[in-house]
Amino acid sequence: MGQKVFLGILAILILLFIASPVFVVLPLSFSDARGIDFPPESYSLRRFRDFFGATEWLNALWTSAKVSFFAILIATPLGTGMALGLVRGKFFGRKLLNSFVILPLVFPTLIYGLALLFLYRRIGIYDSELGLVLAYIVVGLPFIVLITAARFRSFDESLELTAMSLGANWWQSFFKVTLPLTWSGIAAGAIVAFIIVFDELIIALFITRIQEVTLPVKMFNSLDLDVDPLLAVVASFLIINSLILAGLAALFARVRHE
Amino acid sequence: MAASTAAASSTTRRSPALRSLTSRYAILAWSGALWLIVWFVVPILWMIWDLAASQEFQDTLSFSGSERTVNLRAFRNTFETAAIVTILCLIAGYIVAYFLVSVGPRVRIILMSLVLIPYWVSIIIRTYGLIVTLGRKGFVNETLIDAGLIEEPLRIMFTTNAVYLGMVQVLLPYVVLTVYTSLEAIDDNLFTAARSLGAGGWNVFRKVTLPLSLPGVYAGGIIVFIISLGAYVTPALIGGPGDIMIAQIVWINATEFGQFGTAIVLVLPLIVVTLALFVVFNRFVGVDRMLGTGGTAEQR
Repeated sequence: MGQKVFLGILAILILLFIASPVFVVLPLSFSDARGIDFPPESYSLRRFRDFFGATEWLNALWTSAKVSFFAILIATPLGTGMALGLVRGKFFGRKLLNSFVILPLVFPTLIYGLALLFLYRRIGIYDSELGLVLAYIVVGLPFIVLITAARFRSFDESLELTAMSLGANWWQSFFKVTLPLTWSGIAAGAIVAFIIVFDELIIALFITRIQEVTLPVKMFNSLDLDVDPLLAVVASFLIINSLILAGLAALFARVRHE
Repeated sequence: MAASTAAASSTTRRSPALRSLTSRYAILAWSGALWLIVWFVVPILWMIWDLAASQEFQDTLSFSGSERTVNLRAFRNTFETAAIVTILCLIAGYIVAYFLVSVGPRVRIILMSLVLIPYWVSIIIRTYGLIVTLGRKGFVNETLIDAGLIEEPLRIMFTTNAVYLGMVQVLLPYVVLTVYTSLEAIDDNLFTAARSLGAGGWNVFRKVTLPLSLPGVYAGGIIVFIISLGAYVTPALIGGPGDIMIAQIVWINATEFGQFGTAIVLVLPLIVVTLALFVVFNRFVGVDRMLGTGGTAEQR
């Protein structure tokens, strides 16, 4: 029994260690002081007011949002199609592709970033939004494929076959039967991929220099050089944003269209 | 007779339709794969191919370049750090996962959210939080000084230990989730059976729980090890001057010095190790299984 209590205390301490950094940032953004003293001595909304006047931060936020949005806009149909093909199809190389699609997910972004820097300098899209979008399609794709494939797998194929045997062509069967019954899974995949891409730092550090600074790059530089008091505000904003999106994705993943 | 002809003609009519369906799925799957080949595989191969012949590549490979000691040291440092972080994560992650399975569902949801919330928050933010907590004027030091336990603030940030602490903190959720998944899948009857056969608590763990949870341990360990090898953020932000890892050297060589050859030599071992571990992972844990099961966050 004593053993079990000891294990429990240890586990809870470790859990607090995992979660605490997220929770100290939130009160800090309401601090009235400029430093990173925690807990803050007095509270105010000053940092938030400053944030909405800080064009550099707002520009970085805008770049990140734009780049992530377009990457996911392209990756979602591409990934959904790939997932459908992998789940329904029986063709040459299917098993191989099943593993291959996971590779960008486990492959060090350090190496991918380096390779893209090399490529982009040659084809002239270094430090451009296009370069970021192209990179983030690859980063987001595995997540979309994994999540939508799970949904397609639990979806009864005979419904599609029935629609087609009743005279629907493949497109009609997909848009009138499959899509209305699986869209929530696709939405979950797109949201998860968006969170991942939006937070991506390493590749952006490699392929951007001055112009197209994304929010993670700006945050990293701020933390590396000297801590901007506004960082706490940005961090809090992103934490809340991520949690809302993750919650939404979890909700979508659970929706079952009966 | 008429009916059988109709049936026969319907089969002949259906099979090309099915075949075209199959080829449509093949096209769908391969078009995604083609995108990955063009924008993921080709850039990496091209980079290696083009620079394998360059002079700086040869120099770095033979370690005759001027940064020889720096590079070797970064290498040792990286693999050592990755190994230590992986072991620490496996121990701490296993304890948490084991505890999570043992508590009731309501407590479990609360505790699980403590694992999942950081999981969705950017690593930069979590490192920032760690600096706030453990820095010179951070929460921990101030509390200890106020309590009169220490006189001078403890130097935790910007040391090797800070790197371990920071990386474990960031990577722990992976191990907790993979081990938790395999622990939860164990049939409870096995524990009852083991106990009824006379096994004590420790023996049940050693002979039943641990072996059956090994797939989760391997999966978590491999993921953490691979990510650790390429770690950049944590050592750069909270490491000391001696804690340079491969990623930092690669970044400086490629972006500041313009020495691609050196950068590529430095990442080659990472590529080999990652691909090898990926094959092992694929073999023993099974990506197919990952593709097959439901859920979202749990699979990241």
